[in-house]
Amino acid sequence: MNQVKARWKAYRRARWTLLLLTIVMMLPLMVITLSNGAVPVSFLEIWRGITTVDRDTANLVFWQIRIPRIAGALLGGINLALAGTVLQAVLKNPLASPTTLGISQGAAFGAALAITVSGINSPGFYAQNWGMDNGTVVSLSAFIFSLAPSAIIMLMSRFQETGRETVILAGVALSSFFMAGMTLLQYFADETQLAAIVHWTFGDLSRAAWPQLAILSIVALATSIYFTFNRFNYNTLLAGDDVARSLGVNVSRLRLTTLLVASLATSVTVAVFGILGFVGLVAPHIGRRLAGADNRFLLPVSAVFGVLLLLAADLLGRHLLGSIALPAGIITSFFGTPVFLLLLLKKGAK
Amino acid sequence: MSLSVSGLSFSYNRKTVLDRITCSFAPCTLHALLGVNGAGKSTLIKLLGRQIKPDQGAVFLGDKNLASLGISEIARRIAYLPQRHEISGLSVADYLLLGRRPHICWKVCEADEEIVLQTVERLKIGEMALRPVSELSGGELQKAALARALVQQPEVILLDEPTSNLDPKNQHEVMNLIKNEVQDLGLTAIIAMHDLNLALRYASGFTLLDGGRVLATGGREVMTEENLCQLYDVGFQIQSFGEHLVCFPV
Repeated sequence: MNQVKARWKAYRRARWTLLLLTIVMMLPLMVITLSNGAVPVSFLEIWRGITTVDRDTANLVFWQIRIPRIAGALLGGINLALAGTVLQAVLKNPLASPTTLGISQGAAFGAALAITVSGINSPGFYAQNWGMDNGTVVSLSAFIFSLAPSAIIMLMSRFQETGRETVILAGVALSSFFMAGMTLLQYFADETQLAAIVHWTFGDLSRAAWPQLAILSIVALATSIYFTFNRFNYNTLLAGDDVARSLGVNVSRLRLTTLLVASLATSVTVAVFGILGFVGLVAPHIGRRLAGADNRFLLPVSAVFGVLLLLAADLLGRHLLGSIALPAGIITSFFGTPVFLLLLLKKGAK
Repeated sequence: MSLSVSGLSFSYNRKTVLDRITCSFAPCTLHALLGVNGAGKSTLIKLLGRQIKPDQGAVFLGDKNLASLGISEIARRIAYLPQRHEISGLSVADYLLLGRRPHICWKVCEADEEIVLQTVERLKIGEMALRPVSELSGGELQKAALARALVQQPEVILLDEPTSNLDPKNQHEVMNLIKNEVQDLGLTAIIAMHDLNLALRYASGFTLLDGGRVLATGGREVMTEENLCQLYDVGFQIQSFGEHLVCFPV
């Protein structure tokens, strides 16, 4: 027994070490992201920025642009990666992600609707919309519509037992519906609106300012606590729904509440930054390859990889085409596909 | 702890699977639930564990109606092993730890891990403790699933065809493990099964289900050639072989 105990302890220690290592990996990437950009900021200035409150240019760049960007990557990465991980856990589908369930498409449709219908760019816009600026109205509309797929699935569950296949299929159907709606809006949009819609769909970390980050951090904290509290329940689902039920887990309720909470985390993130594709899909897969299936370790490791992916995408986007900075959303979508295919190939080879 | 059902009915898609059945399962006994495919054995197992709710009637654990107990309370007292086990990348030790779910509030504590280790030792499965569940053979997976159910420390354990798809050696190993746990821990085990000889060898209580109704229930006296013939619609002969009864179709 002692031998098994020792091996089990060593096994767990290895996974904690892995988690610590991945967290440590984030730090250099954060410092590089802080120092890189249109205005170069030296490591010394970064240190000065942290320790002083000067009002010089470097300090303003540091506090108003670079730090919010890092915080955006941190909170957005955590939200999207955790949402993807728990959705894959409760739906037992490795392809489950905010995109598969139509959450991102719902947000894109909401943003497009606000841009085309609510008279954005019109002279009387500010007065018409209760004093809210363009960005706020677009984000709010994106948020409301990104919750729609989950709300519809929850509504369906009132009439019928919601199995995991039902949720996935409903998500696919709703994605198509929202994409069709967006195409329709684009068809009727004028050139300026069309450009605004297209621009919004590129997820960009530079959109976050301190007020949005405050909301994002509250949501990230609350949803992370919920997911962490249920980490053992997600593990029971690995043994099958029947077994989970026999272990005292209300499977239908867990599935629906997780869907709702994951939607909330994604909705707020997408409403602030736009669509950051593939993070919610790829980060859990990388996490699972490294940390295994145990959600007690998988959740934090996936979250760290969500942050790493966004930081790397943002950094790459700012350097790939020299002076033209590409939004992180383009990079995650562009590189997410080959990375995901590579993971699938390696899984097959294994 | 005894388990009994009273006037239990269940239909699926308007087809009656169980029709007002009444029977009881004595405590600290290994019960075999026998019947043809579709007789309602798996459904009864699920109803006994409140995996599904009956259309009519009630299941009693001791003198308590299961409907009056919460999902966690039931999980602390009744363990369930389905017919098929889903495989995952969890290590066997972590898989066993799932059995502590009904007892855990926020965090796994040392005592929970000790229970896992004791079960591993008792069932002599230390060799596979750190292997992923996905790499286990059929027999190993069945033993791991049984260990997971025992880690739950239940009073009643419900097993749905635990020996199907196992070779004779593994069948006997699994049945021996269950019988030992029944004897040593005072568990009540109810097993849906098809192998009549395994049932005769290991069980001391028998319930014969025929078309959603109880044909006979009791001790070995219900395992007659007439009852088996009526149950399976084929002639059976039962003979003594040493201290065991053996039955075969004729």
